Amino acid sequence: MYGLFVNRMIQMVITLFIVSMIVFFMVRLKGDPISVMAPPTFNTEQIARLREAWGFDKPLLEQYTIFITKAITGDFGQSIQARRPAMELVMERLGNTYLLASCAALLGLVLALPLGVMSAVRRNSLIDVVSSAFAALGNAMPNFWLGLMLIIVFSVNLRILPAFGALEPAAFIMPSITLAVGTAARLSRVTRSAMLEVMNQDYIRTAYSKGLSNRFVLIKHALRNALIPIVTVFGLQLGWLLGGSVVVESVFSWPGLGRLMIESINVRDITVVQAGLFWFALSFILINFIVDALYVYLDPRIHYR
Amino acid sequence: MNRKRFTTLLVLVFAVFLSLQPLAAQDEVTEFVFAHSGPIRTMDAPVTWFGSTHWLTNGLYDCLIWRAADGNGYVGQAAESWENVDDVTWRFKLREGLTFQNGEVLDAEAVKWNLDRVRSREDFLVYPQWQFIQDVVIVDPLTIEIVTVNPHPYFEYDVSYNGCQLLPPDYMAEVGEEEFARRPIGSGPFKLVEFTESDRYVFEAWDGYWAGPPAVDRVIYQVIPEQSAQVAALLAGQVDMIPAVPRPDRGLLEGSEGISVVEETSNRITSFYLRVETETGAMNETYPDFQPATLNDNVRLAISHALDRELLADVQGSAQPRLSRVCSYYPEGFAEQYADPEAVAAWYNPDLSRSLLAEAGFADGAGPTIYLDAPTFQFGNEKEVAEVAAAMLEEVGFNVELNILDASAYSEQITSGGNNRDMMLTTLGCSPSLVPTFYTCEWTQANYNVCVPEWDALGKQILTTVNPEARLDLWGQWWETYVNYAQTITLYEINSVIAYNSAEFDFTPRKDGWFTFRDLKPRQ
Amino acid sequence: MSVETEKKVIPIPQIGGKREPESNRRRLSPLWASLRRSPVGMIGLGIVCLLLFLAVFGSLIVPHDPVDGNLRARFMPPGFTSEAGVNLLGTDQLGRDIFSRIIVGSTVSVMVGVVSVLIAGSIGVLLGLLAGFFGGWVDNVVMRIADGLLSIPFIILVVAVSGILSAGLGTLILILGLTGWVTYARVIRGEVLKVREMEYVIAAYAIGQSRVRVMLNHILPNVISTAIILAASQVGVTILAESSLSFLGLGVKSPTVTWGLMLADGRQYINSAWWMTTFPGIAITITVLGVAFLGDWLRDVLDPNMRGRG
Repeated sequence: MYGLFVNRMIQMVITLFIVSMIVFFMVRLKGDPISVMAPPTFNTEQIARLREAWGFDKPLLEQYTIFITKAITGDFGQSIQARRPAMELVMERLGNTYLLASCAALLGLVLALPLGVMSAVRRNSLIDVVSSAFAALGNAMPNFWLGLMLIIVFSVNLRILPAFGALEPAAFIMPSITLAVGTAARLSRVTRSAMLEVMNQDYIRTAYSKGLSNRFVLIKHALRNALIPIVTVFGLQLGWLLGGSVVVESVFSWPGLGRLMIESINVRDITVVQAGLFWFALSFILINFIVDALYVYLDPRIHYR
Repeated sequence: MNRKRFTTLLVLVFAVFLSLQPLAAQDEVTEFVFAHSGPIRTMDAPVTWFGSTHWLTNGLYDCLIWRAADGNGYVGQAAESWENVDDVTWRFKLREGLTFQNGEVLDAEAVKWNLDRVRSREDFLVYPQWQFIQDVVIVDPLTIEIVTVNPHPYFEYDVSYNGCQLLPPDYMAEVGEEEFARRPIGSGPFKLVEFTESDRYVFEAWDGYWAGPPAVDRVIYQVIPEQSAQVAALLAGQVDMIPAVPRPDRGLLEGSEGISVVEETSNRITSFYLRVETETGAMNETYPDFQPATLNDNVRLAISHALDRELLADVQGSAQPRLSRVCSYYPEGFAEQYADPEAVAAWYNPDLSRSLLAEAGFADGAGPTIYLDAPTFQFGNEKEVAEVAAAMLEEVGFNVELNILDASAYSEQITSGGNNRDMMLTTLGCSPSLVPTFYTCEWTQANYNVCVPEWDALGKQILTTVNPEARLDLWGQWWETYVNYAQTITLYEINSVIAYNSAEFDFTPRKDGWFTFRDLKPRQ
Repeated sequence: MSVETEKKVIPIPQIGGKREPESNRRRLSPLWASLRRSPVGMIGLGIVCLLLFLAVFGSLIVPHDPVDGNLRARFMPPGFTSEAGVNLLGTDQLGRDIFSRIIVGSTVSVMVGVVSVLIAGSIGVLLGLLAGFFGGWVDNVVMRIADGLLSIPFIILVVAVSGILSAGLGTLILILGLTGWVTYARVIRGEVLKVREMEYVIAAYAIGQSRVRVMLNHILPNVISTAIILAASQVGVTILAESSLSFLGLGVKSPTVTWGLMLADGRQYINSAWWMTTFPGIAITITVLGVAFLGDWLRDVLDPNMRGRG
């Protein structure tokens, strides 16, 4: 158990290191921030002087060495645009993104579990067909388009929900729904098939035959045992939600990390891009770690591996 | 899942939402929310060059002097009066008893510190714009003299340019630049009380301002990148003003009660740059041996005459078609000649364009291939304008290859990269102060270098002629070459279409397109 | 997904096995038969065929010019009629017919979907095969890179890569291909790990076949159906990714017509011109649905074990 933990930690560090390399060189190869920063009326000489003043004329490898030695101590450098530490900007936005992703995850779970369980219990009933259709649509719709449609209906026509920002509780509703639909669609399918599989097992049949009430059997035994695939997919979906937030944040002008990333990439504020991607990667890796830990909790057999 | 538990969960989630909301303030402060399209850069003003960031810094900081709202002359801010002592010396008299918002004294010494900072820090984007200053001399605590390198006809414009903001030197020395960017302090009418980077900036009126506190207690710049979301937010009363109304929404907003739509010049002019040489930028390496069709004088002029500027201005949304690249409210723009609707309409002449092409050796319909680069969106529907312009050029026989890039890739590859082959679309500011410089032989940008000896001499003469009448005469000759040489082909001057909450606020837009709210008043 | 097919036993054709040309017809007819028993599969096939048809011949049958608009008829609502004819789904900001643009836009979706999935699939299958078969450091390197790529949100990854190369359709296809291989590599690696312990593989070694031969002749054919199933599901994902990127302004550029770009154009005008965003979105949804339906059916046919999952 302890060994497994240490092993995972080492893997995490290696992955983060690889991410830092990918990110660093990808972002640098894009070109230097100076050409985007400088006004269009600057002449070649003025641009060259700026580039030197900001240190972008040094060789890439040297820049990387400087970056990685500082990053180890948690210093991701100054934002070129804001003149404040890049990590500080990321931290300002992180909360909003986590909040949105959590709301969406919760909403997805709340939608998917009952839908999945019911369509497994009442197979081929109306509810099963409806939930199939929902899942198919949820997977096929571009989520940003769903967001735009919600804005047209609820902000433009009915004028009951705000079209931007995270300033009031009502502002959470549309982005959460937009983000949650895809997750709910996938999760409800997994729940359904996991439930079907478990319900065919002998012990559930035995439980039924012992006269336990229907609902009790379902919740206590079947769902508990179907949880492993559900947790796996849910874990994957959490990472997906973090990524999906990039587009949704852009549609709803949400002040989160995703929007900060897109804006920073657009102005080539590379220190912020590096710090932000680091957090995305770290969050994702931690989620995977927690999912793995949950396995052990849910399925005691994994101990012996 | 148990239904009761399910309901409990939902209630819980909702409760969490509610607890997140700060209690709505029900006091009498007048609060004005402006929808800013973002991004907003640092509050350490001189570092950056972006105009839309300086809309914010303008409320926070005073300069020595500042452009008047109606585009006519200058008004004193920290300076009470100023005069031109000789050709190269300007003397400023500061207001008495000025302080920064933290109580620090604003005197000649503080002013000198600021001017020396912007003209010596090479990492500042504004650095090149301040090299016209030779020296800054403190005469007494309230008097300061600025000595320029050459006689400087556009001194007042340049001294109120980005970077003119006065920062408190002692506070800066005490906290350092990083902390300053977190808690900036100026001497302007508004204090910055809280902000999230590039998202929301809350300003409050400062009681200690020399002209008295501004009429609106609180000004909030809220970043909403989406124009459509801005419109929805205005309609829902979440914001009080939006700076750019999408064309089809105009009727919707005009028809809404309590909302007014006003139109004003925005200080932006859209032009095409044409290749007149193959030396500059990366073009040579990226497209070896490429010979731009626009090297030919007749081809360039043919392009200029093939463009229906009125239609292009209409595609942009709201703009005034024109031929010269200095805005109408500057006398140097020669509006009566180059922005006159009839003159502009007469310039559009497809037949002349075709015969110019024939003269250049391209007979009917077999015009040259033209590569046209354009950004998707910079200041107003550039992509659509480029698409329609391409169609106009094809009408007279050109074969147009359109290359449209997103704004940052555009500046990286085209503007700063210099990969432009024949034509590139660009939107720029429109003050006269620097324009002739851009067409002198020494001025080499990655995307162009123009060197016409007589024109070069004329431009240099303009920039050292202090007498206004003599200078205007020179400008008149200068524009002749500009429109006929057709290296830069100007299309139109962009108008801002602004919608605001006119039930609660009394607003007159500035001529220069800056959204600063020093003069904003609540309606009684 | 399909309720029907789950109950029925379908003859499973062996794909990628030994090649016996004369049995082609025999293999195709049960496929067709099973398709006829699956209404969802039929719908999927219908949509995909229509899409392919439009992608190839769309530009010949459009009612209006999709690129040159009528500037006097900008932002016209669906059903607008002029001397040029009816604009069934309205017009956009340059007066271009949205119906025609949706038809022409199908080309990009098809090209992006097919080509980038082929690229991603080939790279992913190859790397997955190598990682699973050789194990050791090869496995470690491939899987750590895969982890690294997976832990950056896909969209951000593509955004960051997209700027390196100049924008355009070809670039976008390449990017989606080069970033999409991870899924294949992971799944194929898992399959290979299972298959390589099978008796017939061990037997192949025993009769003295080389490692490369074993890999190509015995392992690859057994994991390829998994790859096909995966590819079918990835086509939809890729089409959605293209639309997201073009929507964010990072994908295909005008004057190429794509649905994502149409959405990006319309987004600015949703307060007054809802048709500009509504219809391209419906086109994307229907397309992805069609591909998914066909993919589900394919999965049911090729891999009975995976039936009813996810």
